Amino acid sequence: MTVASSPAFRTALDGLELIDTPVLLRQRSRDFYWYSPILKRELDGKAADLIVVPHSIDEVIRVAAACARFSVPLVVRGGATGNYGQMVPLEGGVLLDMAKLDRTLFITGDRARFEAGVKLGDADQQCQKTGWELRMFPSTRRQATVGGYVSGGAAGVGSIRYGQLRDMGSVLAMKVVTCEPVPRLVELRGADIGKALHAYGTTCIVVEVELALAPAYPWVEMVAAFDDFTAAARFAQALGEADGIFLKLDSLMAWPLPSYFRGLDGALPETRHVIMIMVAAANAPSVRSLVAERGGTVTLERPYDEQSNNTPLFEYTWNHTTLQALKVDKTVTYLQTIFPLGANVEALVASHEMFGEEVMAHAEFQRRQGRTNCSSLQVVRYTSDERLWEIVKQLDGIGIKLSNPHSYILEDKGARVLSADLQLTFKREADPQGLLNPGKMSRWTPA
Amino acid sequence: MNAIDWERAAADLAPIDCIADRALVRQKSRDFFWYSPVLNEKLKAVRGDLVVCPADEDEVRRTLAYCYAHDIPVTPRGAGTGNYGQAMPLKGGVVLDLSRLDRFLGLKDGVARVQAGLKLIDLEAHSLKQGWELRFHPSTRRTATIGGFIAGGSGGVGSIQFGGLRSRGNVLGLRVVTMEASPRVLELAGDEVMPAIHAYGTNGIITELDMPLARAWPWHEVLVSFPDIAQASAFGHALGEADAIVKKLVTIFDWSTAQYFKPLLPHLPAGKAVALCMIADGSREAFAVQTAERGGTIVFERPYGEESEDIPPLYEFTWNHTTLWALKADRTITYLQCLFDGPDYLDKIARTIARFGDETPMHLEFTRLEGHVAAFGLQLVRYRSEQRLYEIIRWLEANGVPVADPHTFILEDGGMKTVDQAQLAFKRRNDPKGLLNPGKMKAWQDA
Repeated sequence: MTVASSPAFRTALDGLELIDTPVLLRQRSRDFYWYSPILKRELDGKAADLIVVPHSIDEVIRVAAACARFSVPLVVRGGATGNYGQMVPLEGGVLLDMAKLDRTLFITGDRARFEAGVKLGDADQQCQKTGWELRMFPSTRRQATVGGYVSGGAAGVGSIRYGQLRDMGSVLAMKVVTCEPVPRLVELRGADIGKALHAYGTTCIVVEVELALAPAYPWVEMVAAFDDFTAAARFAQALGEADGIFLKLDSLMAWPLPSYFRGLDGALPETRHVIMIMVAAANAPSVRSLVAERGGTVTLERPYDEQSNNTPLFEYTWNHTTLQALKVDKTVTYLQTIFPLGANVEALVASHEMFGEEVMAHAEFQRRQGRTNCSSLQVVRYTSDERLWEIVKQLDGIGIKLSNPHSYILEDKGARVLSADLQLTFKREADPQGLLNPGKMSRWTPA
Repeated sequence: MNAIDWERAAADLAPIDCIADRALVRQKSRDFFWYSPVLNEKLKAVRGDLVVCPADEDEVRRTLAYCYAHDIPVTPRGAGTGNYGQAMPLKGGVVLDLSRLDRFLGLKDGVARVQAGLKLIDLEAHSLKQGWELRFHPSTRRTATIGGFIAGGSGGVGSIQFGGLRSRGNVLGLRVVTMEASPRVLELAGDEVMPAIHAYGTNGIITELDMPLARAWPWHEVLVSFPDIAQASAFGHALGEADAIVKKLVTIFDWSTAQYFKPLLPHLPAGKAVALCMIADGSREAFAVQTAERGGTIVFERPYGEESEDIPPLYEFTWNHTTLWALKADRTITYLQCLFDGPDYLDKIARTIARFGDETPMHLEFTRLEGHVAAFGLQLVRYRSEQRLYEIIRWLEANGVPVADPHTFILEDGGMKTVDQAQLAFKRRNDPKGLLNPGKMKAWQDA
């Protein structure tokens, strides 16, 4: 019997919604880590001992206090749409399922505040009723939560206009609960946001999130197809750099990636590379002009309408691209890489030519430091770990750096020393026993 | 043309409204050319012979047909807020005053259809009711017309978000009347609009426009004081590249420029550089963090739209209004228009300041340009002679700072000094006799 299932611990949680059915424990302890054959080996079978579903911040505080007193690991779960086991409990313990903390606290002008468990799709729709919308969301908009996104995500649909989640001004505030015998409720704003942002819930429990909004536009979905990969890559970059074309999505997929996609009949011609675009309705003709100038063809153009039966275009982009391929071919996996600013198109073309169809280029164009760059979620025909790391090494040689999606370790997602220092320091204060999502922050050492 | 009897012409054009009064005709033949001592000498005697004020497009066509038949030059005019004689009739003839074509025709999916003579302030009054505003506007927003801006302007307040008029997607459609025996009405869409943009009305008369709008944000006006111009410039650049901080205006002045802003002086610490910004309400907190990090002090802020008796909207201290404030204090001052661009553009700014110091008080307008951030320099010039002015211009150009010379009324010399073949071809088709705004397009003159 684990501590989490001991009567004394249960007594401390008396009156809370608890789940301990083994099948549910297993199901809810997983995310999309199985995109990676490596993580699949490492994480299959990991599960919490007990799920607690708090209905209020007070209940979160009770759980945090109990875990601190009984030294029980505590992992926070949003929509579990992460891709590297961000929320998979490595050491059992309590899984704090935030689904019932789903109140919208306010939507005022160009900002909104939500409880952590509000689903991004619901948040977006509520904002849209006031003429505003989320600046960005992941392709998992329907399932993912606000708290999960800021804890485990980085960018998404909208980043071509508004940059990254970590850019100052994207996330305005977070309210967090510490993991101590007497937990504290702390409001993080400004530079302090880095203490909890993209920390996988290792430093504190995020219970509320305040986001900067964008004005809602009528959007149009478009697909442009090109015979030549270089032309397609240059087009995607030029589109991102066209200051007068108001974009929300600019995603490039090399053939044969489009051959895996279902539900876009006619828009994905054989052998052609495609760019998936969301653009403000006013600028759809401007995109057509640019496509024509660059020798491409517009193969799809339709208003973006959430009520329609179409699969939204964004559900073929970002981390959904790999999912769409996996639906058809279980043997593929992916990479996640960062490109050199100012030389990203050259690197993209070089990488495409280096591996042929073994590594299918997939680039998400986005604003970084005021300029258009891309990151890539290449889909890889997996043969062995050795081959995968060989590919990574070769990509590194042409300036394409890995943000390792085959690792659940926080620090393996690119070296952000400043925020890593900030987070480690904060964790010492807010989680002195190291109970929050143990095993994810590699720099953590017990005091 | 000497043989024209203007009273007779007015009678022939009746019932089209004409003005023959000499003082009024002179007044309506002028713009802000006197910012430039060079243009002041060359253009002060310029005047048309008759002002024609059509009330609708049909009257425009009738006027043009008449003038074509009688070989009368026609120079279109919006509000006359240009700075280099764009709307001044070098060869006399008819001044075509389009200010009565002032209807707001409709707004759909973020695109406004308007007549050319509609004032920018009225365009925004209509569109704001539906939650939209202009993507960018000149500092003469309260007086200039939309047609005049498109025909004679280039960018302005909002260009830090959307780039300029030459960026694809910022003008969606134009209705243009040709100068022929039987004037045709052209509906231009997509890239077809390009030859008529910033052509000073030399190749057709714009009567209607399709303008893409931006969703209106609650803006905030802010003045920030910096110890010196180098810190202020670095701040302007960093703010320009901060993707998650939404801004509409990033203007930097050194004290030798800011000292002329009489209404702002109570708020501006003497001797310090100044950043003048318009920031989205939701970005204020992030802006304040960035300001502090960069050594700035916020000295004034207020919500945009709440201007007081004593302080007009802050954008009226920026772009071409800056020079006007200086001219009010010192009639000998003039200005330049140059582009600081490239990876070392902040160094170029520093070198320019080091070279000329107080002779050219610095004024920077940060903008997006082809997908990155750059700065237009509209530095003041303490004018000594035309010879010295062109020494300064030559130094700038030799040091990698192209100058769009504001001391010439020649279209090409005010821009990038290359012949725009599409613009010329468009003139050949639409104005075969060369009667539209004669003397401005060098390529036509030379041909």
